[in-house]
Amino acid sequence: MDMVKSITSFSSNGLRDWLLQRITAVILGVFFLVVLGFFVANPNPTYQCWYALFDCNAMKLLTIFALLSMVMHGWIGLWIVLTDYVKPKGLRLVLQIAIILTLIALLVWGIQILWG
Amino acid sequence: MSKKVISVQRFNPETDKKPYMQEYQIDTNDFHGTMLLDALEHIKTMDQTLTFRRSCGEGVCGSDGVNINGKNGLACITDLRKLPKTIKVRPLPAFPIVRDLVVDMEQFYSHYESVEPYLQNDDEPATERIQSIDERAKLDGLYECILCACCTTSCPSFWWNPDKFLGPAALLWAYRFVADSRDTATEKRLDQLEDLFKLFRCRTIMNCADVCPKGLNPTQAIGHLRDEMIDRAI
Repeated sequence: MDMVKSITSFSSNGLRDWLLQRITAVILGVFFLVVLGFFVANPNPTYQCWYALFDCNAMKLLTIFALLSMVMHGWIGLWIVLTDYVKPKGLRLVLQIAIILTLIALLVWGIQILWG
Repeated sequence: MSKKVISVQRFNPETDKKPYMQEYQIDTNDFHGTMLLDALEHIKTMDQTLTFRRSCGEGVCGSDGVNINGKNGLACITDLRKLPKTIKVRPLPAFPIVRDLVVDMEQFYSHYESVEPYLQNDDEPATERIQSIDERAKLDGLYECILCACCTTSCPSFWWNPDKFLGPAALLWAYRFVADSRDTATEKRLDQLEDLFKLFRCRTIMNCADVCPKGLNPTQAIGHLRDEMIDRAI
């Protein structure tokens, strides 16, 4: 059996996709723990308080990493879901493109919010 | 032990449009043995059209893998006394049905063949290929696989992509030779598994380890293969 080629997968390599999915999961986990920690420390955050959190460079950087991780993790994971459950090739391609465009749009939107 | 109702999935491609369940009332005192296979053989004395595979009858050959009340297992080592009064027996899922409980295992064997399940070493040894006790111990939990296909046909990743994902049994065998100190084809073996489906469609849900009648753990073998791949790629 030949290697399965896919032009819509994230990295076209099973090992790299697998490892990236794990690394991005850890980054997303750290990001959400930090945000959760913020809400525990500030149960009723004001706008200023929320603004100050994302105004610091470390949080901006972590958020960018989290957004990039979301794109990679979502692309890899949803590609797997679609190749499992959506068998008609045309529909699968449309959904794959829709997911990739949505993830990139979310990334751009997130960057705009941080530096807009 | 006394009366049981065994409901068997029947299908004759020459006469039936689709499979159906047929019930048989049995009394376990009417035949020798205490296993589900003994009950199926007893049913066959009543209804000779019932078709199933069997050979050794003691969990060594792997011929009589079936789905028993929703869980795959070998009929010959499944104790009737541990089953409820009503038992549903179906063929292994995900394979084309040849007839009744007999399935076409071509896909399973071709995946097994694709991992080249034999020792590869170009060096001619002077005498024997010596292994240390520790090296030999690495093969425990791997060589015992009897290719019954209970694991592979319980795996959803195999159900959805049977042509691309090799399935737990073939991957267990791939690791059996990667782990063998006498085999020198490790690099080639790992290269062949690095695509998006063959190994990496495993989502580690462990149905395979749950059903293996020999108590093996293909999920762990797949994990070891991934470790070997990561180890040489970083």
